[in-house]
Amino acid sequence: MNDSSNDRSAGNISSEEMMDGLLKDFFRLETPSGLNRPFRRPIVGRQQDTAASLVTLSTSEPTATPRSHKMVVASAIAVLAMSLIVAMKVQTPSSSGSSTVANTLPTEPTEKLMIVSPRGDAPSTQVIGEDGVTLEETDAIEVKSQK
Amino acid sequence: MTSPVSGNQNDPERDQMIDTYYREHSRELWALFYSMCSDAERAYDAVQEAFLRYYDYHGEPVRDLRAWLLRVGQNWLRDVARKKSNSCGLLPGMDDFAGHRESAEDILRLSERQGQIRKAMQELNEDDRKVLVMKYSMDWSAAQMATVMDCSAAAIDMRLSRARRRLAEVLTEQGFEYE
Repeated sequence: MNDSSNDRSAGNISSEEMMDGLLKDFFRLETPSGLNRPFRRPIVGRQQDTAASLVTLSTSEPTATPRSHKMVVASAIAVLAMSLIVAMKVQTPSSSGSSTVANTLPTEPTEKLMIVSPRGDAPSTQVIGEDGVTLEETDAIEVKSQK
Repeated sequence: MTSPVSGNQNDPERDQMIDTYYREHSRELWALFYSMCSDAERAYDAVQEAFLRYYDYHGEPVRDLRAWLLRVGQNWLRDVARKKSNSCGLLPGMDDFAGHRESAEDILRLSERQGQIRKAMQELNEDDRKVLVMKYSMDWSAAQMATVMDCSAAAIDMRLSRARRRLAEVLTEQGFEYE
């Protein structure tokens, strides 16, 4: 091969020296510069560690807490909804019931009967009550609502 | 190298051992992976992958770390080759020229030349590639190469000479011109 080294001028590769130089240049450029740097600490592994520690931290707290919060809120809403429904259902029968009560009020016990004169609306000075009030005086009484 | 420690992450002693081993052997591993795939970036990824997997390794203590890393890197290279990734990378070697003063034409010419030699290297058999890589990338002596390749130093010299000659022939066939 050395005997054909004159071919270099023609641009052909002919000697081991030429190949030597060519390969040195080639591998100088080919070798990644990262090999000269220290080992890249596995960031992924570290992230996993961090994630694991985060998980650990979160598990150190009672895991049921978030769920219980949700459960409390959900059950509170459910109770509210149920009570609202019940209230609405109760309100409907009670309104009809109140009318019933109103209707039945007159028929309710009349133990305290209204004081009336046996002479009807004829003027009389006769005492009709236990406190000595006459019927006319009774008529004169102005009934006002108590404040 | 025997690695009695295994699996325990966040172990400063183990981290130190990995750092040291990487500093001392990553270049050799890269060269061996490069001789398998003729792709500098992929070989570098194989080195990183092998060390990362060892970092995450939790199994039995590794008796021969070099062999373990080589096996992991080789398997990774095979997997990658099987998948035939179509990912588009930068022009070979372009990263090395970032910030340099060469003109775009010079960079392109140099990149083409690197590509031609890379392509010619792929035409060689793996053992020829291996001795070239060990010689020119790691600057190993014939005796060192002989230890790794389990043969005599004289055989390494012969193989090296033959590999250079074969590469020159391939390059000539490709129309490569030495500048």
